[in-house]
Parts: sequence; structure tokens; C-alpha cells
Amino acid sequence: MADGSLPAASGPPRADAWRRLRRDGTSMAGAGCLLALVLVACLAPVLAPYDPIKVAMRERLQGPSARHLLGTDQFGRDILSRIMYGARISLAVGLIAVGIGLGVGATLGLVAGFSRRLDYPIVALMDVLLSFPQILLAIAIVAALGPGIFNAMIAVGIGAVPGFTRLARSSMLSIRERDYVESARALGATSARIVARHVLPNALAPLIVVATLSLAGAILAAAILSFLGLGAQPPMAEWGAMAADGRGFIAQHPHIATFPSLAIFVVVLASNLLGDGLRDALDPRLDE
Amino acid sequence: MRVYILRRLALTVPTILGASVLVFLILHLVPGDPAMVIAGPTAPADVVANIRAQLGLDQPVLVQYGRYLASALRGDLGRSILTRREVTSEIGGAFLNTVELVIAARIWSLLVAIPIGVVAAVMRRSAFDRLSMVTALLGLSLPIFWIGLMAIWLFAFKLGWFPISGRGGPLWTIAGLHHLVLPALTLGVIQVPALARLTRSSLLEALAQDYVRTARAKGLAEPFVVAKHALRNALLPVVTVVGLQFAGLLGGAVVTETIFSWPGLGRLAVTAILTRDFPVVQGTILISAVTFVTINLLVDLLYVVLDPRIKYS
Amino acid sequence: MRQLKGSWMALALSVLLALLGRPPAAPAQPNALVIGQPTDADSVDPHKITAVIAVERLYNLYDTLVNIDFNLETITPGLAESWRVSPDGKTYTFILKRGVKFHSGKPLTAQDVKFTLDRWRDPATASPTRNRIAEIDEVVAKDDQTVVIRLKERSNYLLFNLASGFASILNPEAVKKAGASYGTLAVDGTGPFKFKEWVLRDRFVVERNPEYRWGPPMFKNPGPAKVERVVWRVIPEDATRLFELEQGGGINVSRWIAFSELPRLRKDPRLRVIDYKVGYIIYLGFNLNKEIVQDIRVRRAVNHAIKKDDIVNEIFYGLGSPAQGPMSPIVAGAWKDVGKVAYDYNPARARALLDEAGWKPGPDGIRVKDGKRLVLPIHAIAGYGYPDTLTLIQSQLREVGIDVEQILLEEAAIWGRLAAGEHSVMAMGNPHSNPDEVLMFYFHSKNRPTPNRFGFADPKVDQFLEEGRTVADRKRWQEVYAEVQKRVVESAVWVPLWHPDRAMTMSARVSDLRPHPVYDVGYHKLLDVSVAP
Repeated sequence: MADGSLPAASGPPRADAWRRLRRDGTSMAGAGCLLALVLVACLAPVLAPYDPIKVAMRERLQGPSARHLLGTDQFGRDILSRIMYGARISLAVGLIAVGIGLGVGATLGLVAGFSRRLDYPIVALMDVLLSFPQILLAIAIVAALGPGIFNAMIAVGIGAVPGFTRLARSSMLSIRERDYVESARALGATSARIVARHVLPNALAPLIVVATLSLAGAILAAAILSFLGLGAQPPMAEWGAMAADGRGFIAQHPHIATFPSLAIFVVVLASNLLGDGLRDALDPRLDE
Repeated sequence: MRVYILRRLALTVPTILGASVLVFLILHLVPGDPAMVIAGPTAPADVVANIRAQLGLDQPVLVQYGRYLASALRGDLGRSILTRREVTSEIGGAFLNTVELVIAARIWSLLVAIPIGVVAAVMRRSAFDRLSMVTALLGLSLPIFWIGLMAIWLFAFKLGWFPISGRGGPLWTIAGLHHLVLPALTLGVIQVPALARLTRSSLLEALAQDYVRTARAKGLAEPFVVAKHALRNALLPVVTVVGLQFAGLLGGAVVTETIFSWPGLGRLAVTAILTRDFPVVQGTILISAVTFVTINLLVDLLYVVLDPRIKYS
Repeated sequence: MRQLKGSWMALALSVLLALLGRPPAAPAQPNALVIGQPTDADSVDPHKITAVIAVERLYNLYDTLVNIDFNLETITPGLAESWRVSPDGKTYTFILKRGVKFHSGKPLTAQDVKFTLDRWRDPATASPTRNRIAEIDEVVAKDDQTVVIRLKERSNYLLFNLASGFASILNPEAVKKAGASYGTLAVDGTGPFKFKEWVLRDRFVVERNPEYRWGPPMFKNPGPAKVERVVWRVIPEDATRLFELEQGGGINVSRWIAFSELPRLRKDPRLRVIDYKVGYIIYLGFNLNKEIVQDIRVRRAVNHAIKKDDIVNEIFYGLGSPAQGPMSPIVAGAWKDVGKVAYDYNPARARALLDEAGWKPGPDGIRVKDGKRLVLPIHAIAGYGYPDTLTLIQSQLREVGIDVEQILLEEAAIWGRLAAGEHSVMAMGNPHSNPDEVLMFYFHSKNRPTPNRFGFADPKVDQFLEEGRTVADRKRWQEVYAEVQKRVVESAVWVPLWHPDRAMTMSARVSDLRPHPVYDVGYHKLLDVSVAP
């Protein structure tokens, strides 16, 4: 090659993986679900039959009916509308929290794997973070920053960092030793170029898989924070907060907590299926 | 070998210390005043100041941490700000209760997950494989508080098979076990999917190894191959994950403990954080960090023992 | 074969019936009252706690010199069988009952009373409630049966405060022996029940004191108690607590059952629901130091815009009454004519006031003035019905063009923030058995920044509050407090929201449990209560 580098990856070509993924039924179902979720989130103002925060006490605690397909909560708010609007928040929570975890974690991990000097301090810091029970770390951070959905996202994101750091670091360490990297170095390629052309593309795959799978965990973690009163503040229609609010009525009006829980279930299931499919597609050995 | 253990032990100290400092900083540089929680809503400012001085909360942060560290090294973890009980006694009982719950949950989740994972791997790409993996995901995808409350409503309230909540007594009593079932079930159900999938993938990986091919070539029966050769190596990653997640579960049990009125560490820690009961939070993180590094060490040692191919310098 | 099939059918059928039928009753507790609560107390040392949940235990473990009757007005004998007050009102002489003993066996003496009151007042004890008896100058034990209390000035409230759970009489030997562990690991009192076991955050168990015979006259049974044991069980989750009570075995009484369940539970023959009134006010308070609420027209508009009936009926199922002033009407000293100055629900008037104040409706309906939107951040505790209340208020204020931002915090965070004065509006509640307990704390200027979190300062109010503490003439006493309430309402520094009622839900097997309204405890001495097997 003119610039002195060798062909990028030694793994399976990108196109093959994509084809494998498309043939995988359950993963495609998962992907379709997530796509539907994004659509609902974007179109909520158009699709939702009622205002999600308007209080209508005369209508409260109704079970599913023709007028309210999923019933109403203790303030008479339509649950279906709240779930649709809640899709925006849950999606945002998942994406932002995972984004923080991935962004910060991957950067730290690549740096740790690359630089021998910074390796030990970064690993030590991650160990410290990992020795905290994750939920307590999140609670402490939210207690520090104040309750609210945005701070909950940050807390969950920070909790996800050590996992991504470790992953990125081990990717970096193993790729660094590969032949083509040695050759590239021998041919005079700079570190930056090596990282950009060789390391990132190969490290990216497992990171994406884990990120997809972490989406589910992030949404659930935010739901637990809401359960403890530390996540979304009323009257915000976040699924976790809705389920948490509804749990006081579970004896007589289980639908208030159950429908948001089912929404969480569908999204989490979908992202897990997609993540599994991605992992299987990118690692052909498991298919033999 | 001994050198290795000693070196690892020495390395745990900075981790534990780091955790302690980190949580101290987070809690202290944060708005929140336990003195006012004690004082209540109608106490005048001078009463609050009096309480705060009594608790040593008006000292600079560094001084407070220094004092804490000095006593901690002598074995005195201080007293809870709210209850004035010794932290060791507050946490000790709660820690054991949570360990009981977590171990029970683990055992049942492993009993369910490993067979599912093994069968799924052996019959990979079959309907069972797909179905079991998806069904296992059920446990992971539903919010745990929903699962817990539904479990109580159905099995305890409507059917009356189990007590509704609370810890019934020591583990070795009938009442104790009876009360343990539902919370352990709830906490375990969320772990089954990950463990099942991990078992499946690591077994598949082990089955692809050379020594398995050799065993097959020798003409050994398939179940024998699976059980004796592949499984033992496949379970190593599972053991690792089980161990590493243990410390995390201490806090993760907080929802289960709340719903089932289980007097455990998760619930205690959350309350302590929310009421800024610093010594109790410190103590909780300390125990958690110690548990984490201990288990890490044990797992690594287990690896050395079980897999002679691994060498540690 | 047929028979086997038949028995499988029978099994399936019975499972189905079980699934659909009533929950089977759990085995009954032996003669014990099991109380369900959401949180645990921190301690039962009367000088270290303020939480209602702790105080209800104090009334059963200990006794006080005097007691307050169910009507929240009459002071009745307790450990003191009689007392007299000097003409200038500054010297109280109490004669103690004879034959009273602590659980440890030690007989009660006047020295124990002196020790207790001195410890309560001592700054070294750092008691959060010590300012309740700030008027005490010295306590003298004249002899074993006589206690003399000398005051700095006359006080209308000494007896009230000596009847509170915080005035529980302690055993000096037990306190000194246990040191810092008193109240958590060791407890010694003269009460109808003695401390048995405390599994933290799980259960607090007390056992009948068989020697007890000196119960207050407001109870039919002077002692010993009829139940053998009382257990306070900690059940944090609302649904779980409800299940435990409904099923019949886990707990047999609780004050903490969601009001939404009460209509259904009242119809259940296995349960009984007792509603009772307490002296309590829930209010919105404005911080007069914040510009956005400094205009009295804005505050009055908010007062006119909130429909308190909806709060009471929709969120709390009618268990309470809308409030017009800062005091609960069942408490002596509450101004009967507060309705004359109170603000009625009148959204039109609210809008007119806001228009007058220069707040014009903006494009989204929220009022705007000088480019600023009329947004009221309201601080409240994240729990106890405040989030729901604020949600309703939010929708009501929206109707007149005011936007609300809910700032819900846990207790540790909120008190500090409120003391620092960062709030513009706060929602809070307060139990009170006399005017001093609510009006003095919140409206005397010397109590800024806390508990007077409103920046309220009116020299006339200060003067009347101080007079109310010492004035002997009953009529004047009512007059001064009426004046205070009038001024507070007219200044619109508060929006008095509502006076909550309480409901005690119990198994039908529990008899003669009469809730006591003092300090919102519900459970005073459990002397008359019996539990049928």
C-alpha cells in the first residue's frame, strides 16, 4: 500500500458479518423492536391519544378500556400516552448512560492498554470503582448531584465505565501484540495511525456488542433508581418511575405498574437479542 | 506461589483505601446534613449546631477523615450518626443476612442456569437453544421489583405457600428457610440468563478446542467428552463471573430486601446514604471492598489450581 | 387408573380454587400486638430522637410526670400523683406516686426525675428537643417523693412538655452503665412494657411488665397490660405491609396503610378501620427573601388558586379537612373565626391578582413579567404523599398561569437546603398539641433561618407569641393567639393546605385500641388493648 500500512483487519470482512446478522431471525426481531421504539419516541406527540401529564381525577384508576387502552393511573392520566412519551426518556437514558460509559470507558481503556505509564493508575481506579456495589455507587452519585433523570443517567453511565475500560484495555493489549501491528511499526507508522487503522476497528466490534447489551442494564438501573425515588421526578413519565409509582396499587390495580414493566421488558429483551446476534455474527467460530 | 499471594494481598490495600477515600469525598462534598435529620424540623439553629459539634461534623473534611482512618486502623469503625450504635454491630448482622440471601439466590440460579446452558450448547441452533435463551432473558428483562411483588402476591398472599416478608430466623431452622425461598427466588431469577448464556458460550468454546477433538477421535462417547473434558474447563469462566459479581450483589439486593423486609446490607446502605450517616456508609463500602478483593484473589487462585496451563510469575 | 385420574382432577381443581379464593389465613400470633411500620426508630433514648415512630415506643417503655388526655387539653397525673403551682407561676412542686419501680427493680425517686430533666437540658447531651424546657431554671429533689421545678418565667407549656414522650423518666444507673449505648442496647423505664429484643430494621419487641399498676387515668386498665407482647415490625414496602395485615398473621395493626385501600378494607369483616383526628397542619410556605414570592398579590393568588378539597378528596380519599389557618381546629387556641380572613378557592380572583401584579399570560399559558416566567420551585420531602399533592397543585396552578417545578429530596438533603434558604416555596407538615408548638417555631423572628424558614418577621407577632407563653388569663391567651393567626393568614406567608386525619387499620381480633392524637403517635400506652386468639 502506498502509505506503508497493511490491510486493516485480520478478522472476517465486515460484509460477511452483516449478512450473518441479517439471516438471524431473533436478532432482526430485536432490531425491529428497537426501531419501532425509536419511531414511537419520535412520533409520541402525534401518536399519543392524551396529554401524558394532564391530571384528570374523575378518570383515575380505571382498567384497560376502549377509551383508555391501557387504563389510567391514580391521577387519571392515560397510561398508553405516558408509555409513549416515556419511550423518549427511556431511550435517552439508555443511550446517554451507555454513551458515557462507552465514551469514557473505551478512551480510558485504550489509553491504559497503550501507555505503560498510565496503565496502573487507570486499572487501580477501575478496581476501586468495581469494588463498590454498582447500585450504591449510583445512589451516592445521585445523592451528591441531586435527584433527577439527568443525574441518574450520569450515575448509571459512571457505573458502566469500568466494564468498558476493562474491555477496551484487553482489546488494546491483545491487538498490540499482533503481527500486523509489529509490521506496521517496523514500517514506520506512527502510534496514532496504528490506533486509528488497526486497533479501533478491531476493538470496536466487542465494544459495540457490549454496548448494545448494556442498554438493557442501563434502562433497568434507571428504573431501580426511580424505585428508590432518585430518578425521574414527577410528573415525568419515565417507565421505571411509572412502575415504581404504581407498585402501591399492585393489589387492586396491577395494570399501573405492569404495563410500564412490560415496556421495559420488551426493550430490554430486544436489545439483548440484538446484542447476542451481533456477537454471534462477529465471531464465526461459534457457528460451526 | 506464596510470594504471589503476598504480593496480591499487598496490592489490595490501595484498592480498599481508595474506595474508602472516594466514598468519603463523595458524601462530604455533597449537600446533606445528618445533624438536621436528627434535630428534626422544629429545632432552632443553636440546637442543630450543638448536635453537629457533638458529632464532630463541624471539623474540616480532612480532619474528619484522618480521625476516621486512625480509629479504623485500631478496629473502631465509629458509631452510626443516627443510632449511635457501633458500626461493626450495625453492619455485621446486616452483612450476614445479605450473604445468606445472595448465596441462596446464587445456588438456585446456578442449579437452573448451568443445565440450561449445557443443553443449549449441546443442542445448539435447535429450537430448545433459541427458546431457552429467550426465556432465560425473561428474568433479566423484567424490573426486579415487579417480579418480587408479583411473587409475593401470588405465592404468599393468594396461595399462602410462603410467608409474605421478613427473615424467619437462622438459616438452619424451618422458619428461616421458609422465609428465604421467595426472596432468594426473586434475586436469583435475574441472574439465570447471564449465567445460562455464559455456560453455553464457554462450553461451545471448550468443545471447539483441540483436546476435545482428540477425545472424540479416540472414539469416546459424546456425553463423556462433554462432561469430563469440556465442562470442567467451561465452568471456569462461570466460576469467575459468579465470584466477581458477588460483591456487586451485596448492593444489588437492595430492591429485594426492601420488598421482602429482609434486614440486609443493601437496605441499610441505601438508608445510610440518604440520611448521610457517614460512618455506616464508610463501613459498608469497606466491607464491600474487602469482599471484592478477597473473592478476586480466591478466584485467581482457583484458576491456578484448576488450570495448570496458566502460569503466574 | 380412573381413581388416580380423579385425584389429579381433584388436585387441579383445588389448586384452581385456591388461586381464585381468599388468601388462607396465616397462623395467629399468641397474645401479642404486632404493629407494622415502614421504618425503624434510631433509638429509644428520649433525649436523642424526634421521630414519631420512636416516640410511640417511648410511651410504652417509660412514664412521664404527667400525661395529656385524648382531648389534647387536659393534663392528668402520671408518675406525679399531684402537683401545685406557686401564685407567680414560677415554681412547680410535684409529689411522686409511691411504689413505682423500674423494670430493673430499682424504685423511682425524685433524684431520678432531677437526673432526667437535667440530662435533657444539658448541652452536652445535645438533645434535639431541649429547647422545649428552656424556661426551666433548676430542678431540685426535695426528698425522695418531691420534685421542685423553678422556672425563669411563667410558662403555659411546661406541663404539656412534661407530658411529651421526650420527658420520659430515666433510671440514672442504667443510663450511666450503658453510656453511649443507652437507648439502643440497654433500656430501663417504668412503663407497662419492658424491652426484650431489637433486631435492627426488622423487629422491636417489648414484653409486659407484670409489676405495672400506675397507668394514667385516661386508660381503663391501670396495669398490668392485657397483651403479653408488643412487636414493632419494620416492613418498608407499602404493598407488602398491606398483604401482611390482610392475610391476618404477619401484623395485626398498622397506621401506614395506603388510603386508596381503605374503602375496600372497611368492608372486610376480618378488619376494622378506626379514623381519628390529630393536631396536624400541612402547608406551603413562601420564603419571603426570594423575589419571586415577595409580592403579596402573588402569594394571595396562589392561596386562591389551590382547590384544597381536591387534595383531601382525590389524593387522601376524604381523610382530612381543608385548612384555613396554620392551626388544626381540634387544638385549643385555634382561632374559630379564621374563616373571616382565609382565602377561598377563587381562580378568577387569583388571575385578577396576578394581572394586577404585572404577570401577564405568555404564549404557553404561563405568565410572564419582564421576560421572566412565573415558575415556582417547590421543595418537599420525597414521600409521605407530598409528590402526589404537589402534582395536583401543579395542575391547579397551571390553570391560573403559574408553573411549578417539583424539587423532591430525601430528608438529609432537604433540611440543609431549607436552612440555607435556597427555597422559594416549601411543602411541609407539623404535628402540634398547642399553639406554641406551631406558631412560635415558625413565626417568631428569632427562629430564622430555621425553623422559621420563611423569613417571616412581624414585631407584633413576636410580642403576642411571647405573651402567649406567660399570660395567665385564659381569655387573653386565646386573644393573642387569634391575633397571631390573623396576621399570619393576612400576610399570606403560608398556604395552609389541609389537616390530615389518620386511620388505624387493625385485625378484628384486636379490641380496645383507642388511638391517641398527641404528637401523631397513635399508640399511647397499650394498657387496654387485647388480642383475641
